[in-house]
Amino acid sequence: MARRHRPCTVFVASLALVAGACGGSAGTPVPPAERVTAKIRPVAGCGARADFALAGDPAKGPARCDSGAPAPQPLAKKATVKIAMPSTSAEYVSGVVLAERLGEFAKENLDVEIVALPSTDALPLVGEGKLDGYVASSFAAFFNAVDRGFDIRWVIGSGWLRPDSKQGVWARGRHVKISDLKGARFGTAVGMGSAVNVLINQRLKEVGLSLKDMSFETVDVADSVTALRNGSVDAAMLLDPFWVPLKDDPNYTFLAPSVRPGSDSGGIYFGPSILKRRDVGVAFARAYIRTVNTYLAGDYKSDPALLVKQSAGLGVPGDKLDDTPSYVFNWDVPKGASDEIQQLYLGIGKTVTYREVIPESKVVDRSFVAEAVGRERP
Amino acid sequence: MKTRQAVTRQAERLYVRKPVCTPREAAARARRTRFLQVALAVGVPVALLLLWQMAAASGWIDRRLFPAPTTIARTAWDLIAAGELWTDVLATLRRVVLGFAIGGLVGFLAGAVTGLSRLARSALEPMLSALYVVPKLALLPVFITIAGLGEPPVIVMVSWTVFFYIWIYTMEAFTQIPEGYREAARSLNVGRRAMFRHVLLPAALPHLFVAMRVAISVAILVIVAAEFVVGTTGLGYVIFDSRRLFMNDRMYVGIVTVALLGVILATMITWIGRRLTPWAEQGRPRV
Repeated sequence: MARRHRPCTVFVASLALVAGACGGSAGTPVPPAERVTAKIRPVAGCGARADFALAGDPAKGPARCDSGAPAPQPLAKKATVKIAMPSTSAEYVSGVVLAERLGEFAKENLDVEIVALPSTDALPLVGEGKLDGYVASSFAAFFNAVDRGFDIRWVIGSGWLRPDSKQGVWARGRHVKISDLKGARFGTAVGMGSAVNVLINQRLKEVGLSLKDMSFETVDVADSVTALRNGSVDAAMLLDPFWVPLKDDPNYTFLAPSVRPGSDSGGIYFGPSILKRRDVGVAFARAYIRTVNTYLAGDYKSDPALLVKQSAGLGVPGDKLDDTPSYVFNWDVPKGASDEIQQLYLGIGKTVTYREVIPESKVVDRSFVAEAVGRERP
Repeated sequence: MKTRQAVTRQAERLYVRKPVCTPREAAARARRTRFLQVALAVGVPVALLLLWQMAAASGWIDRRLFPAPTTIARTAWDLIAAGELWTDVLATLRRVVLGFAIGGLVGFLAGAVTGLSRLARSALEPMLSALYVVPKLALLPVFITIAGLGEPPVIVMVSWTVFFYIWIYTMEAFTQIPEGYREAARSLNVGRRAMFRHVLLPAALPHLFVAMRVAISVAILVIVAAEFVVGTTGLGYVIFDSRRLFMNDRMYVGIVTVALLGVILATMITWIGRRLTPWAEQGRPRV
């Protein structure tokens, strides 16, 4: 009798297992947070220099407060924030890493847990509210997630590169021109759907080409220089600090940086779990902005005292940090940045699931920065 | 006399048994069993798909992350109609077949040599065993450095993986051939070449097909992982790229296609094996 029922038992058990896996709160979409108007009150140390007009101005900007400003305003109750980033050693994430290691988050009564996780893995978790946010570039998946109704917003910018930085597109050969990239094999870890392609796409357009005129090869960031050297690719996107070995080699040509000064390609994104806890989000933004103003303003790598603090905070030797130039940290998301990136994706095709640019109001939320520095943001 | 007849009758009663079932009943029972097996083989996946569809439709799971089977089917249809999916299926298939052929051939030769020669086994087995345990994906950067980007490192990767499975199974198959087979052949004055062709190879062949079936499944696993890392075509790339772009319906199309490809290739090998080794139908080694 028992033998006769065995297949049915297995069948029912399988259904029960699947039902169990499907159950619970995992699949319940998190309802969008209600938008709250920022309470703008003047903040000491954040004067006219912190105005949004400077946000996308590479000559006078970006906006800044005094060192140590805005001052901490500890939350009444300790709050925990889980934030993901692809790596803790990349320059553009160092604002968050330093804020955590140098105690700037703790001053706001925030317990920030940094999770090293690729952006593709972090995005669904942030959308589901299992992570509060992530630090990354505005890759196409982010816009696709927003288009599908995930309540994720680009709240803080990252910045741009100084002219002496050579992070960007490198080609094999002497005196290579942008027009020589027609038909080239282009090595990149991020594929077409990354915001770091905006500038090279613009340069290609100037000579009547586009990204589609190159064949993309997926190459890990760490293997890009090897691929370029052994001829596997003709050009590659080299991020910090992987371009450093090529900087004095005449057999390689630097063609374009990864970000246009005054623009932005990414930063910090908040998911529904922190968008709903507005005071926590503002405290996070305040601590981050204070860290940038205190430790990462100007040519911070030329200041030995700041370099020592950065080295201690990041756990990276000072001479290694000094390999690459200072980054221009910009806590604002420049106006039009999200439109510019989306236009790239829409132009390339097959990277986004929609056909018209998603308005900035549904993608960017500058109210956290506005409240933290006490000055209006659009 | 009476007593003898009684004993005979008693013996007849003892030895004449009523059949458990008639041949017709036995055939009907076999049909029922077969029907149940087929119904379960088809019914379980169908029931799971229905449950998945129901879960997505009723909001038990987030459709944005786990699209319903009908959405996946619609996306698959769109990709097929646009001719996009075939390109990737063919790219993966080409790499698997090439890698499998190269790795399988070399693995068979190595397995035959080490299985038939103790000296060769002493020379090669420790080294090959050590290499076998190295995670195959860990070697991909080495293959990329040696062979560059594109097809070569991926095909080498598949060949490398398949080689070990075929080598081990083949070696074991040859070493486990009963000595009686050889003795019987020797008694007929069979030469070495004929011994291999008519005795040893047929004895090892069923095991070799089991190895091929295992190896083709592992080859699919490896190719998908390798296409994650290298190149811009193939089903592994479709899965990886779709995930990177948050196109989950397309990602599931890739996953389902990989699963189907694995089943089709493994079934083909089983079918060919049955046709080529009919003598092994009874007691055929199973995966």
